[in-house]
Amino acid sequence: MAFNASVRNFIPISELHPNTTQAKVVGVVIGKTDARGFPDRKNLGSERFTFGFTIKDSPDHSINVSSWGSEEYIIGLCGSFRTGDCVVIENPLVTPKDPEKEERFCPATPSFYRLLMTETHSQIRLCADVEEENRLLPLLHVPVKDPRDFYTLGDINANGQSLDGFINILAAVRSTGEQKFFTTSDGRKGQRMEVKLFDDTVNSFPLVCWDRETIQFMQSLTPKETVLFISDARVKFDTFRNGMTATATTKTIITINPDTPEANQLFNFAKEFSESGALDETDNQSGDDIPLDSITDVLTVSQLRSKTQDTLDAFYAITYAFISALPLDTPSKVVRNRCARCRVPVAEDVMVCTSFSCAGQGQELEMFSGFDLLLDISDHTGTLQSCYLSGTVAEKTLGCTAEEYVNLSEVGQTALKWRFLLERCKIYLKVQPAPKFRSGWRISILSCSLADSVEVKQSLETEAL
Amino acid sequence: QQKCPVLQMKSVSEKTLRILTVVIEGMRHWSQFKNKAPMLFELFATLDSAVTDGKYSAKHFLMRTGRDVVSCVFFENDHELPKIFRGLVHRCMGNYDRQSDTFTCVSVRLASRYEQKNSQEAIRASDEEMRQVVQSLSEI
Repeated sequence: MAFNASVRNFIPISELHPNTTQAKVVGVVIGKTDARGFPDRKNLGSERFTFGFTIKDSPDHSINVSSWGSEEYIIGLCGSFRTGDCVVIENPLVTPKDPEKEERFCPATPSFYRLLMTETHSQIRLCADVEEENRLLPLLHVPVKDPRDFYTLGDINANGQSLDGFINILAAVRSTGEQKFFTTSDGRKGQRMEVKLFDDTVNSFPLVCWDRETIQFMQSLTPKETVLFISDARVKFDTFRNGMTATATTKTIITINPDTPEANQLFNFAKEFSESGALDETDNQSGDDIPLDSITDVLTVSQLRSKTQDTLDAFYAITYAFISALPLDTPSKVVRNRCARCRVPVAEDVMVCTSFSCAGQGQELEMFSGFDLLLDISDHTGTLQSCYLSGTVAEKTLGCTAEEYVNLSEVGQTALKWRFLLERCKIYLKVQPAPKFRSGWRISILSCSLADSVEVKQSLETEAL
Repeated sequence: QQKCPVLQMKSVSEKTLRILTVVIEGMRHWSQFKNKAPMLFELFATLDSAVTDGKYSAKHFLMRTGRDVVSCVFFENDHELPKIFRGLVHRCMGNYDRQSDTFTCVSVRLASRYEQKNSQEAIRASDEEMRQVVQSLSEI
């Protein structure tokens, strides 16, 4: 039978030994690094390339694989499969681990050995055996560390600066940020993406990813419906944000929706919490989410005003205007506490949620805080007062979370204010009818960033036509 | 009845703050309508003096556009005046007082080359807008 034949052919990771020859190993890729180049010491001026990955073939066994070679070979090999694929490795070299290097740069594995792939002898291909795949794929949901050995986000924040090193985290994905590209001082290209995590203790916690591979992997996840067991995440105190952050390094293995009771419980919480609208509302208080690049109308303040007179429908627009009022030095006007159950704003000194519709009425209040601020925007044609800037849009604009903002010193808060106050910004707006408001309209900011002067000039030229 | 709030809005809009990008001459001119149309000014100008200390943590200096020079004051209330450089173009935001012929700045920083270059269009747009405002004021 084909199934038996394949089982016979593959050597289990647990039985690999330096004397093994002609080995054929199958496993599911649970982690993978980007291809990197290093100056070749033997051959000055040229570079050697390498990348590594980790495979697993049973709940308890995994092994690291690495490959060195020419740029062409490594880039090709590295691009031929991704995390989550099942691969067959033929003829690798089984060598003992270099304890020091493995410890520092590679994921922890129970095996004493590692596999080396060489260009001349070894081969790797995707596993085409469906039955083998069916056996291997569930392993993707088995954490590589003790599933009960994790920190909640609250634990991490509570420990603060004293926690500096590698730990395991169990948390849900709240949102994935934008991928940003940069060039380092030595001319290498890099990228960075920030994922926001949450759990039942903390509303938003940053996980920073640097590897293209990790970024792609994270981008494929569904926010608010994915729980991650992040083993060996690097946590440290970020003095710029004045808060704790986690980073995915080459040691880190991320397990999606782990098959453990704790993860299941968190998954249910995350689902309920996001279905209650709790996360949406902070993400985007104006309701539906339309992609920013679909907004193309550029209007001045007075054009925006006259448009509200011409229509009774909600509309979107871009305006290049100055922020003329921004209460960032008055925390009480910037951050609002809400009941974690029903999202109704609550006063800090009240110990229960006073909303009649709240499911948690009478129970002890659980709060979380988020940005909720009103600002004025002005240009040469006038001012729009009380525009809403809240939730993640505010976080993105200001570059910090509400918690981080509250922890800023007074000087820090003022400095943040002056980064935007009276500066010309490119502001994406949603304007919707709101009979309760004095103006008759509710104006929400969907995105706000310092404007590019060339774009400002072009917008003013078009206005003149 | 539905039109009511709309009309209200229009009257409000004409009285709301405008931020005008100007040269010194324009700032002196448009400020005479300050009572009818509240305004703040964005001025791209060259620092034309040393920065000297005054009373109440004030900093005094001169700014120049073309042949016009205006004396400026910056009060270090909640933030310090950043380092500014004589002979370089800065971007100043503030309020112009006609009586004392003083530009009270609340934000001063170096202007980038692009900002300087592209500010011409903003100045033109602000002047055009103010001409229309003044015309509508005289009609009333």
